[in-house]
Amino acid sequence: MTGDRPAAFVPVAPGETRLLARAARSDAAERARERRLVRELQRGSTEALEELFRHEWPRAYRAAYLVVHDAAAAEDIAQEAFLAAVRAIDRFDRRRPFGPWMHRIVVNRAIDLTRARALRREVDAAAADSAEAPPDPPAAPFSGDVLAALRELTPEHRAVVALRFLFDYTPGEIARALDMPRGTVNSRLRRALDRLGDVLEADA
Amino acid sequence: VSTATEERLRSRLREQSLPAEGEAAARSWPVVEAALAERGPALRPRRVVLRLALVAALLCVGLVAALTPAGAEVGHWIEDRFADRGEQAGPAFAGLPAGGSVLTISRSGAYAIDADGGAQWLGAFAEAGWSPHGLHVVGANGRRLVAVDATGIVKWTLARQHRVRDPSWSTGLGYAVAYLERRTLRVVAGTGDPSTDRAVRRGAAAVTPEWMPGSDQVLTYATARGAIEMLDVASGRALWRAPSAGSGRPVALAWSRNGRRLVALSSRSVTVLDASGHVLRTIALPAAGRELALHPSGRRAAVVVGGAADVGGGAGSTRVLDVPLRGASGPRQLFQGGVDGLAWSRDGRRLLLGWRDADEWLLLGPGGRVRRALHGVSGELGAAGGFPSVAGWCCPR
Repeated sequence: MTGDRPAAFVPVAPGETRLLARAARSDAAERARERRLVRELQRGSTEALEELFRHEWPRAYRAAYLVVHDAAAAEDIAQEAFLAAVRAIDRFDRRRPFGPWMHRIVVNRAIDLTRARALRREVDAAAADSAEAPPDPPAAPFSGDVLAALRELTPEHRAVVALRFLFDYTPGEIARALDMPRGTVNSRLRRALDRLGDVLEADA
Repeated sequence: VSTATEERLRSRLREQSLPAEGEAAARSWPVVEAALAERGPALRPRRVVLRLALVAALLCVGLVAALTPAGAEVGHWIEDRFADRGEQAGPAFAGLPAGGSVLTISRSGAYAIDADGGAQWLGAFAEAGWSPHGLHVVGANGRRLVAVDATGIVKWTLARQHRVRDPSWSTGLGYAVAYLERRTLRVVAGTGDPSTDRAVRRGAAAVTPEWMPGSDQVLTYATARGAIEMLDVASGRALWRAPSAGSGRPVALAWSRNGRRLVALSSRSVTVLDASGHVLRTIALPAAGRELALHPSGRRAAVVVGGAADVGGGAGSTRVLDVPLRGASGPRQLFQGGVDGLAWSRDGRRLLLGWRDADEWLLLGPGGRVRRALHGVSGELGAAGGFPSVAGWCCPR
């Protein structure tokens, strides 16, 4: 997942060209650093793993949390993604960026878990043979209107929002990561922004 | 929605403090570090020529690198390029080992994937299975059962009233095909002659029926009540019935190649039966069984457990277990992640599994170590195809 970041297509004033060029150099340096760390990790370097962990763990945990809204589950998902990365690192293609590979694993895991929990709630409700309304979701662990509003969306919508606004992926990249049509990504983004926009405007 | 709103959302999502973030990282780091230690020594590149070329290149670059820091960067760049070409140059599927074709199912249908990376579309099938020698494939497409040759040319079609599923070609001379229509187990001749199509049992579970190896007549299937029955499809006579194999209902059946053992995966166990239906062994599973791939030796099985069917714990992901069917050792975890389909190579040296989360197919060696990763497999079958799940690995043609 590389390439057409939206900023690259924004017309810029002549004075801003230098800033963009510096940003591009910074991206290239980041990619070179990441490739070096993966190369060293493939050779078994704990230091390289630690550096990758320090850099990627907060992002992985945050992305998982935004989708599942549960700290324990987000921890499980982020940890599992790292374990999978370590176990598959021998054959990781270093020409590919490591971060997006991991983000894809994290977000897909988070969607699966949220779906599974929904399924379990249905099964439990059926087993109890109860006509009562399903229990309320657990209360948000902190007061953030945006995050509370985000929780009202489906996990697929939350995943699209996380990939777009946490990692700055383009709709095309999100479509590939989540295995869904690009039009669906766009419509989910639009719907999510409509829902979250009110909260953000009120918050401004 | 204004750009300012998007920017506000971006900053809120990135800056909002999250509960237990630091503690979670502190708890996870030792686990991740231990996984690296357990991994053992790094794998060497597979190709001798590549290795020699790489060493020669590095020696040259090393001289430059010894003199300048910029030289070191160039060396790493060269190493990355050469090392990775050994992994995957060209189509993702070209990384498959030789010796057979992989049957895969995606949203756009079934494909046969050859070791040279070529993908042959076979039909818009939701489920499919090989004929005994891999010359044909039978697929389920809505209310139609369709047989095609290896190039996707339709050989026959059988239309039914209701949706059909779980087709299974007989393993002798290919004279029969079993399938399910709702809860009815049906059999049709391998020529697709509609006059031969008949119901052989009602009350079957949604589990692919399995023919006894080398037979066009003896079939095993799971009943809706959780029993396993072997029947003679010519006479309709039950040869034996195992009332309840293991704990829970069967979800998959597989015969050993020599026809001496039948392995049943149920929701909580793997059960080994002999050809007379006697239970020889039951192995408990730590989570709900979902998929089964019996090793060609018949001595072990790879089993997918967990996932949406078993949401009791963990991150809800599936795990692949290596389950020895003999001896005292118990199941051992080979892989954890969102797995979609698995199959053994014909020689039993590689286990192929679809890792949906990463859009990769992985080839695991003995011990579960990743020996090869085929990246970006979805893109190989067109944008609309979605992830191709592994449905079988068949004979060289």
